[in-house]
Amino acid sequence: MKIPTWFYTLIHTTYYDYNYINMKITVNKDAFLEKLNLASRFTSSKLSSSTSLQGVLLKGEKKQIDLFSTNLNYYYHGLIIIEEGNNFQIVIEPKKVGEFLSLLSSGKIELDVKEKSIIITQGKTKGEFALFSSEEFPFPPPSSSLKQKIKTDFFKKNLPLLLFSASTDETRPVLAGVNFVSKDESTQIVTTDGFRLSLLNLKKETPFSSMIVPSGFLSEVTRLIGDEEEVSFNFHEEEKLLIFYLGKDELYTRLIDGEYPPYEKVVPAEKKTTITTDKEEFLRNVKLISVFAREFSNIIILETNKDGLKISPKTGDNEDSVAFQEADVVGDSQKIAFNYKFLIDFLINIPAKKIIIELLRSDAPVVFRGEKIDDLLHIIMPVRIQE
Amino acid sequence: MSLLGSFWNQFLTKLEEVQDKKSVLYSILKQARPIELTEEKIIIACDSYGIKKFLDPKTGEIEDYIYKNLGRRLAVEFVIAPLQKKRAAPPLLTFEPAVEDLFVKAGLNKKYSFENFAVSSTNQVAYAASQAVVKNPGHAYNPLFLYGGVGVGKTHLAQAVAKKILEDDRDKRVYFCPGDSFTNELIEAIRDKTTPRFRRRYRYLNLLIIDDIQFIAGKTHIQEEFFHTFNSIASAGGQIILTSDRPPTEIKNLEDRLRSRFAGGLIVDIQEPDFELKTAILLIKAKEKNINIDMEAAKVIAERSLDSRALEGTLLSLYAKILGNKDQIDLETVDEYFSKNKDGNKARKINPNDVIKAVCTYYNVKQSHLRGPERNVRIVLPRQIAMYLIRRQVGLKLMETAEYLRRKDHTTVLHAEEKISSLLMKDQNFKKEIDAIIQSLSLST
Repeated sequence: MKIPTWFYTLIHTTYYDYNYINMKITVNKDAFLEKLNLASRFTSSKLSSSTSLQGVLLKGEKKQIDLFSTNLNYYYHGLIIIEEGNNFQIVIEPKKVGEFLSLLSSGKIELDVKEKSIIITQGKTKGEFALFSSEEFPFPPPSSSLKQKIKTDFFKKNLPLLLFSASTDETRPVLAGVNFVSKDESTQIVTTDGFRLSLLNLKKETPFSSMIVPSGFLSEVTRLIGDEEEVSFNFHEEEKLLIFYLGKDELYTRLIDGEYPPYEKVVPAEKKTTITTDKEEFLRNVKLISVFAREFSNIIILETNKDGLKISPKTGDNEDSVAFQEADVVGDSQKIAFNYKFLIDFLINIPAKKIIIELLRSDAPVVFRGEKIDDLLHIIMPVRIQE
Repeated sequence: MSLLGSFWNQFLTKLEEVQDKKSVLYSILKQARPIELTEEKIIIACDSYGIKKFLDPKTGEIEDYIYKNLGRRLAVEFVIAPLQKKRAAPPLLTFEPAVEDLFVKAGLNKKYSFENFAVSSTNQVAYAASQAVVKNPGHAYNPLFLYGGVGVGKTHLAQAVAKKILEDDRDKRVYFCPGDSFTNELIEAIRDKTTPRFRRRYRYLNLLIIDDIQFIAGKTHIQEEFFHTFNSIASAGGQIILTSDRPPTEIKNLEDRLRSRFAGGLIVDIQEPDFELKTAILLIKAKEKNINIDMEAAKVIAERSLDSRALEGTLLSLYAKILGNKDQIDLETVDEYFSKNKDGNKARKINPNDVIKAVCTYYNVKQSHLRGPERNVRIVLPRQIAMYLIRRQVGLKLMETAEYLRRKDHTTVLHAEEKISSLLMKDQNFKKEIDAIIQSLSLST
C-alpha cells in the first residue's frame, strides 16, 4: 500500500523536534527589531504574570520566523522572511534583546539558538540571552469567519476624535473601551472616563455591531496603519475576538465584557448660552492660564460677558492672572469651572477652526462641538465652585 | 480567612507543587478570585474575556487537580467580574438631569400642572379622564381627545398629564408637539432625507401629545405619517393625547382611518368656563403672580371676561394700575377700570361696517371694490373673508350678510364661509392673518 505524501507531512509537523539545538540563522537586524518591538507591545506588563506572557515567541519554520506575543487579551502574530530554512521554537524576553539590537548597526545579524539561550552576533559583538519556556505558550485562537474590509479613514479621521476620552484606569474595564452601538441606520461610538465623554454618530458604513473594544488596542491599530485605503478584519463572535490584518501582521483583541453606563442621559437636551470662538486662540489662552492653575487642582474659570470669555485660574487671593478670549456669546451670562486638561485634550484633537460651547448651568454637563463637525459631541462635566 | 479563601489557597499551594511557578495557568489562577463555593461547584471570578477564554478549555484539567489533591469532586465555573474598588463615582456618569430639564426636553411649559388647574362642571369630565390617563397611561383612554374653544384649558390639561407622568418616572419618553410643528418637522425631515430619525424620535415615545391636531387635516402625507406614528406608539403601549378646537367628526379632510382611530379612545369636550370657574382661575392666577385681589373684585372681573386668557390680561392691566398706589385690587379699582372701558365693552357688539373696514385696511383694498362686482382674486378673497367674519364675529344671517356686500343670494356667502374655514384649517399663515384682523377689530372698537 502506498502511503500518501500528506501523511508524512502530518507526522513531520506533529512530531517535530522543536528543541533543535545549535541552529544558526542570518536575519536582517532592522526587520527583526521592528517586529520584536511591535510584538513586545502586546505582552503583559504585570510582573506577576508568567514569563510566557511577558516574552515573545519565535517560531522558525522553513524560510520564515513567526513572532507571537500575548497578554491573553491581546494577541500579536507577525513574521519575517529569512534566506535559509530552519526549525525552532523559543521564547525570548523582548526588552533587553530590543535594547541590545537597537545599539547594533544596520545590516545582518546571526542568531544562534542553543538549548537554554540565544546568542546574537554581529561582527565581533556577541550577546547571550536566556530563554523562557515555550511549552505552554498561549497561541491565538484559530479564526475561520470571513474577512471584512474597513476603510482606514475610520482610524485616521474618526477614532482620533474620541480615543482620548476613554479611561486608562483599569478598575472600571468598560470605560477603558470604545463602545460601538449599532442603531437602525447609524452607529454611535462612545468613549468616556466619567469626567468627559465623546460621542460620534456615523452613518451605517461602519461594519461593527454593538460591542466594546479596548481603546488601547484601537490606538495601537491606528498607529500601525500606513497608506492603505482599507484594512481587513474579522470578528469571531464565539471567542469574542476581533482581528485586524495589517500587511503580514495580525492583531487580535478580546472584547470587553460588561455593561456600558447609560451615556444618553448625560447628553444635555437644553442650553442657555452658546459661545462660538476661535479654537487656536482659545487653546493658547487655556494653556496660558494653566500655568497658574496647576497649583490649584488644575481648575480654570470661564466667565462670559457680552463680547467674550474671561479665563482665570481658581485662586484665592491673586486676582491678577487673567486672559481674555474674544467670542460670540449668545444667551445668559455664565460662570463655570473646568479642569483645564480636559479642555486642552478636546482642543488638540478637534480638527476645526472654530469651536462651539453650549452651557446650561454651572453644575450641568457642557457640550463642546467643532464648527462644521456635526457628528461629534464632546461633553465635559464642570467642576463645582463655591461662590 | 473564610472557608472559601482557605480552600482556594490550599489548592494553589498544591498546584504550585505540581506546576511550575512560572507557568501561565498558575499565574493566572493566582490572580483569579474565588467568589462562591458550594457542595457541587466553585465559581471563580476573572477580569476579562481574555482570561476566561484561556481558562474555559482548562476546566476539566483544573477539576482533576482539585479532585486529586483535595479529594473533592467540584465543578469549576469561570465568570467575568472585575474587582470593584470603592471609589468616588465619576461625576459625569452620575449626573442626573433636573426634572425641569426634562420638561424642557419634552416641550413642556413649567407653568401648566394639575395643581393650578381649576375644575368645575364645564371641564370636570376632561379632568377626570386626564387623571385616569396618568394612573394608567396607554390603557385607560387611548387616545384621549380633548376639544373645546380658545382658552378653555386643553393645552393646560394635556401638559399637566405629561408633567405628572414625567415626575413619576423620569425615564418615560414624553413629547409635547404643536400640530404645525409635527408638520414642519416632517417636511424638514423629508427635505434633509432624515425621515428615519424623525420616525425614531416619534415612534418610540411613551406619551405623545399633539396640540391642535386639526392642522394636519387635508395634508395626505402628514396624515399618513401620523397614522403610522399613532399605530406604533399605541401598539407599544404608549399613550396619545390630542387636542383640537372641534370634535374629529367636524375636522374636514381628515382621513377616515384617523377619524376612526380617534373615536377609538375617549373624546371629551371642554366647555367655556362658567362664572365660578373663571373666578377660581382668576384667584389661582393672582396667587401665582403674587397679586392681592379682593374676592368681590375677582367676581366682577370673572363676570366681564370671556375666557381664561382675557382674565389674565385684565388682571395684569389692573395690577399695573394699582402698582404703587394700593396693595390690593379692590372693587373700586375694578369698577373704575370697567367703567372707563365701558364703551369698549358695549361696542363688543361689532358691526358689519367695522369688519369691512378692518378687512379693507388689512388687505389694502377699497370698500367700494369689496361691494362692487369685480371678481379679481385680489378682491375676491378679502370679500370672502369679510363675509366669513361678518357671519362669525357679528352673527348676521346669510341673507343679511349677502345684502351688506351687495351679493345677490345667500349661497355666495355660504360658499365663502366654507372656503375660508377650510383655508384656515390648511394654512397656518392664513390663520394668522385672520387672527390679526380679528384682533384689530376688537382694538378698534
